[in-house]
Amino acid sequence: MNTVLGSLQGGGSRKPRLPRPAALGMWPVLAVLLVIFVWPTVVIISRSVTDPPGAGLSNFHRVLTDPTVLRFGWNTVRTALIVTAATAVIGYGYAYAIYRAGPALRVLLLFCALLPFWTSLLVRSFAWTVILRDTGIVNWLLLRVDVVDHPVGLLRTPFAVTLGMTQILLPFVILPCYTAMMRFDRDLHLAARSLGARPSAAFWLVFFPVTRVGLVAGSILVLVLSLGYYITPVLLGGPGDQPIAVLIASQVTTQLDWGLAGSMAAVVTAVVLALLALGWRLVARAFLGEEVR
Amino acid sequence: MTLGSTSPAGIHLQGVRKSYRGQPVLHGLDLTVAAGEFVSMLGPSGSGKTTTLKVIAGFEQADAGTVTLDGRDMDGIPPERRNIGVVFQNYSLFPHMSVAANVGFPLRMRKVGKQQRQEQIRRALSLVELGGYEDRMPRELSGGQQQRVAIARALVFEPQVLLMDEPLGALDRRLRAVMQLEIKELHERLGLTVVYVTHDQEEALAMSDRIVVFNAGRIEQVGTPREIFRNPATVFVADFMGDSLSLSGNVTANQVQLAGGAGEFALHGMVVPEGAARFLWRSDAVRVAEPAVLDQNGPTLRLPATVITSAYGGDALRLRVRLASGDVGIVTVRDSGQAPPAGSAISVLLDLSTAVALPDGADRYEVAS
Repeated sequence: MNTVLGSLQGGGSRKPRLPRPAALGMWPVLAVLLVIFVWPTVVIISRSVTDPPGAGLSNFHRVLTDPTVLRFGWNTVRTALIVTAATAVIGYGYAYAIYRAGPALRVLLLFCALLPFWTSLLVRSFAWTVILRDTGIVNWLLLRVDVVDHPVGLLRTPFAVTLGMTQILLPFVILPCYTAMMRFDRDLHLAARSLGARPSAAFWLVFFPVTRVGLVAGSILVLVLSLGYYITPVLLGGPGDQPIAVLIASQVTTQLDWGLAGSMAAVVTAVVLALLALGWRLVARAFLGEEVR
Repeated sequence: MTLGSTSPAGIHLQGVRKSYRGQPVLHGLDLTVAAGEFVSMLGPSGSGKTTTLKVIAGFEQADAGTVTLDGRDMDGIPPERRNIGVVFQNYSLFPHMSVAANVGFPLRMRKVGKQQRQEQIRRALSLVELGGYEDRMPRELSGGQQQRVAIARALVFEPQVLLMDEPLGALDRRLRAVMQLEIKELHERLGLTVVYVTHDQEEALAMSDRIVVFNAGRIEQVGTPREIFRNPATVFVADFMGDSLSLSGNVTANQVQLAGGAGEFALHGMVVPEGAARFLWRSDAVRVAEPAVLDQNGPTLRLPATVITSAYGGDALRLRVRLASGDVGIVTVRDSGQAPPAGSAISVLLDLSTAVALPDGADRYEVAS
């Protein structure tokens, strides 16, 4: 109550903020989130220093030295970086294709880009298993055109994980890139041309730097999301390609080692929060189209 | 080299046509701009003036016709090889580059060495009185400063022609007046060819050597500001160039019969073809009087009128009046401290020697109200 009154009186240069009906309506949502999301997270992470009793920082010591944890951790980081790079290149290019397309094609391309959002993650991951398995369409095609004489093992490989995650996470890059491009003032391109820039120079020296904000925002989001990916690697990857999320789950469900699981979760959460802290302004600007303090 | 040492180029347009999705926007345009001339393209929005500018810049290809610059056919030559400076309405500075990088951009494209580049950037910025602003970002500058940077950027590579597309449209009125004079001075100092697009007739009158009035994709009239203002060739030009009062009439021999039996008078030295014509007075050439006052000095036509509205404008008062014939026009009178109320009857006194006679075409410029 004090803070509400304080902000009503308005201090210094800050704009006085009135409690709006919409803001009041947010409280139940925040309360639900607090109970079903924030509280369990706090409980799990607090186990990292309390399980077993008197654990202190010993769990964190294991996280940073145990070869299994490090292997799963490296899997996670490597996959996340490759997926981020792949979605960045393909997503920006796809967004540019939408931007340059005529009105009818633009609708179609946007629809295709958004399609993954409207289908379940599980269904999409399973679809990739159907496509990539030994009797799937890719191997059928390769066999038919006699490129190979026996099926290529595509499923249960790092390649399958990267491919699946890239496809699923692409919209998170396409949308902010497309938004940034739609906001691009076409006169800037004409100005560059009139000043002596060939089309390629106008693109790389003006269009790309101005629309890069969308690419950076989308890439941060993809990086954050792919660090915590679970279902897709489980369905498409082999035993050696599993991310840290899978190890955390197995520590809890089979080893009952809540302390180690909690400390691994704490490390991942810290990395994700750090990335978001670095990129939040960009993400907010690209997705919400506004400056966030 | 110093700025502006390149000899300016003339521009020649012949039979230029352009359509967008089957809608013609330019109907066979012929226009010659002499080297070193300041020409304004004036007209309402959608009249084709900006399209013409884009065709000259090479941003748009004409469907038919030729554009020559300095005698060279520009067909198929992309904008980056035309050596034309363009200034846009919204400045179009590159937001991610400093002022120096913006101004240096055309030099970078021309592979000018770093030393010489810095020297030319410095000189171009001092030309627009922005020396010392090299490291600022565009968003840190006011609108007027941004437009000066844009002008410096468009001049730094010594183009033969400078195109300006409503460059002052986004600035407030006072700053606009200052910038008008600065641009005019730059033109006189550098002697380059300037094609200036505007929809503001005062701006065109103030700055230009010649004005090209556009209407619906055609050129209505080309002439010096004085010619355009005092001797408009068509009713459209007359209406567009400012407030006026005009009457329809019919010319037979040496006699004019005003429409609706408003009166008749003899032509005084005016050469008007027989038939339908329109007689127009600039709003400052009309006097008004109380209905009862008799004032007969010189060949003056006296017509009863009703005040529709009045607007106070400092030393003058603008009255919108309706004549008995139904014609509506605007007259400007000196402010006498009190505006006549709406609906009051007055007389307008029209001096026949100041009338402009025009063939009565159907195409008129109507101010949306």
